[in-house]
Amino acid sequence: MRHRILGIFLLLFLSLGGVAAKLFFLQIQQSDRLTARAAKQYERRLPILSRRGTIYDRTGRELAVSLQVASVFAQPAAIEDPAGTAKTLAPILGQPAKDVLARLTTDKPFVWLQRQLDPPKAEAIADLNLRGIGLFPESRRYYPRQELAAHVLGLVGLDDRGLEGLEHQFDDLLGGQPQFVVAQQDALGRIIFRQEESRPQAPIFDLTLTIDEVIQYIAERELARAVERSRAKAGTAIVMDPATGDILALANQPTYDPNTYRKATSAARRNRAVTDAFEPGSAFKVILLAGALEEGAVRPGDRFHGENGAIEVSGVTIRDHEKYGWLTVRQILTQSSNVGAIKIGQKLGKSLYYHYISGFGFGSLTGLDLPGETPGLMRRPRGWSALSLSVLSLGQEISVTPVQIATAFSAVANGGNLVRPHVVRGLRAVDGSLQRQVEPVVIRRVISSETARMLLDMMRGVVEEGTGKEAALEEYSVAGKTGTAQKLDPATGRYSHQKVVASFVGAVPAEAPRLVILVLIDEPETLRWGGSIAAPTFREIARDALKYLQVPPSPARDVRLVRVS
Amino acid sequence: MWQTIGSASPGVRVASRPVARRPALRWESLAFLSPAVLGLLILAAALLYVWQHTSVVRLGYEIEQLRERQAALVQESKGLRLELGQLRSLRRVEDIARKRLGMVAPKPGQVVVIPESVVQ
Repeated sequence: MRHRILGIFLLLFLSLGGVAAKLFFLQIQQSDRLTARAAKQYERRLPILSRRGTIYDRTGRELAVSLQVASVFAQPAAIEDPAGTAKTLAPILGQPAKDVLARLTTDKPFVWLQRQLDPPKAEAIADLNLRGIGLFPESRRYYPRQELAAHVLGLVGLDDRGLEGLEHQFDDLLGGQPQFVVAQQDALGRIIFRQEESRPQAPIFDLTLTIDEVIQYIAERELARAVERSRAKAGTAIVMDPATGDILALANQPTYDPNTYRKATSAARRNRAVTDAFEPGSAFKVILLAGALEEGAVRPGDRFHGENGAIEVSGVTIRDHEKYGWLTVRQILTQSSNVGAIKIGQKLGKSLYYHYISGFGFGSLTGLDLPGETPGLMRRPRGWSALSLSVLSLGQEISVTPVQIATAFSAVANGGNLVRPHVVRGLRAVDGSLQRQVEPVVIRRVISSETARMLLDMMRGVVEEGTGKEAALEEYSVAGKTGTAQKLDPATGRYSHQKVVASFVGAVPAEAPRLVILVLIDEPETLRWGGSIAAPTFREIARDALKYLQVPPSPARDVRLVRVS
Repeated sequence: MWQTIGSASPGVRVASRPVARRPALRWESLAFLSPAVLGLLILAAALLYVWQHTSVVRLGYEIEQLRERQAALVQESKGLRLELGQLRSLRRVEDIARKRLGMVAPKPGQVVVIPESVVQ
């Protein structure tokens, strides 16, 4: 009897000990692992809407927006009826049921079935409510205006990171990285609670640009027309507000649609306005004259002899297109006389000319808020050859970007101040917490307002009686300068007669410029002069842009005088 | 019972006022509450707790549903704005104006801009 009681006692003790041991094992030793495992069942990391900031034009029109689209995935282990599931999904995904089934029966815990679905397809799949099939939200960037301002906006890759243009330059501020919250779910996977955000997230910003959609459109349309008409390799057009440095339009040809950027060539994606430097040619004579007039080396009425169209400098003969006799400084500019420019350059001298070239911002970055800007190439006077001063007077032996040229001409147009060009006008946090406006920045005064006024007046002569007649407008006075630069042939190291860069840069209305417009056509096959292809393109852009901006016509406009073409 | 009050006159012993004695809470008086009633009270409290809990869960579901609906509507609105943006593309607008509606750009002089100085 006693043994029996002892036996039962022992049995109870042992079995309770076993329970206690198991309890210890589960509650203490395995606690962390099991808690985590339980949490895994009722907690879920939930992706929340990633909202990359929107990019607006200067009037608030949307140029780049992010939309949430869904990607469909499968968790094969959770699927009860793979064959049936595959059969249901196949027609929606537009894939053969066999292929879908193959992916539903892999050993992997997670497989993508299709990424970035069209919204109706995603809805259809969501309605099916299939086990083991889920939708994952992903952000996709859309450019509603297709190729409009493509080179300014840039593009965003599949991972929602900006790869080019403003999307790249302002990537951190635009944001858009996927973020998660922890949520509790029930047995069916329905969300019960979300945990509130614990750590504050970096604010996401919307960008407002200086670009005006309408002017951008006008510039792109006319540039495309010019490039097509002249069968050119490429082209650039820039419209700038000379007073503030606001870039109202920046267009390049060839161009592309950032919605389908993978189809675009790298040539089409290049923002030539900032990345490509070229020899400016005769347009640079304005810079030479700015220095010469400012320093008092010449006055507009001074006369130089045209040497009957040819001058020899250090054994090299440089020619004019016509055999000129006596020319005033004004005529040297309006007729774009090379001989005259060389003589003015010699009067100004190396170091002063260099001072003004760099003063106008050539050889250094303009500070434009777009990636990939090149400063161009400019040698210091120490490295100049005997020929350098002369050819620099003609805009050779220096390479500049279209943006640099537009900025330099803006300084002439606004009365002598070099302003920093920019495309971003303001930033605003999506939650409204922060806001910043970009104020115009004057880098330095390059020339006096008196010199600027004289230059503008001479440049009016270029359009009214010189090489830029094709740029003339009926209702507005135009001041500008043509340029036709031969390109250096990299094979021979000599100037090519076939390949030129034709350009026109000007300011309208000349008496109080509202716009500085640059048009540059690279390697036109026909219409190879700046005056014959770039000037009329300038005219068309200026006409429509001024009309759009409701700029009143120039006072006392003598329509007969300019109706030349 | 004697005690010293203050220090006014040390050594003087004053009789404390007799305090009215409150009737002590007598547990015996709760005896009329039968165990059944007690059980009901406890049950009610428990039910209140459960009701609260289920309400919270139910509201949680509701909030989540509304949140989803809101997100869907925001998406829809964004999608519609995107479509609007595409339809407003100036190339398309100009194309329709010129080809379908036969419109032309105004000639010089047909648009008269009146300077603000004149208006005033």
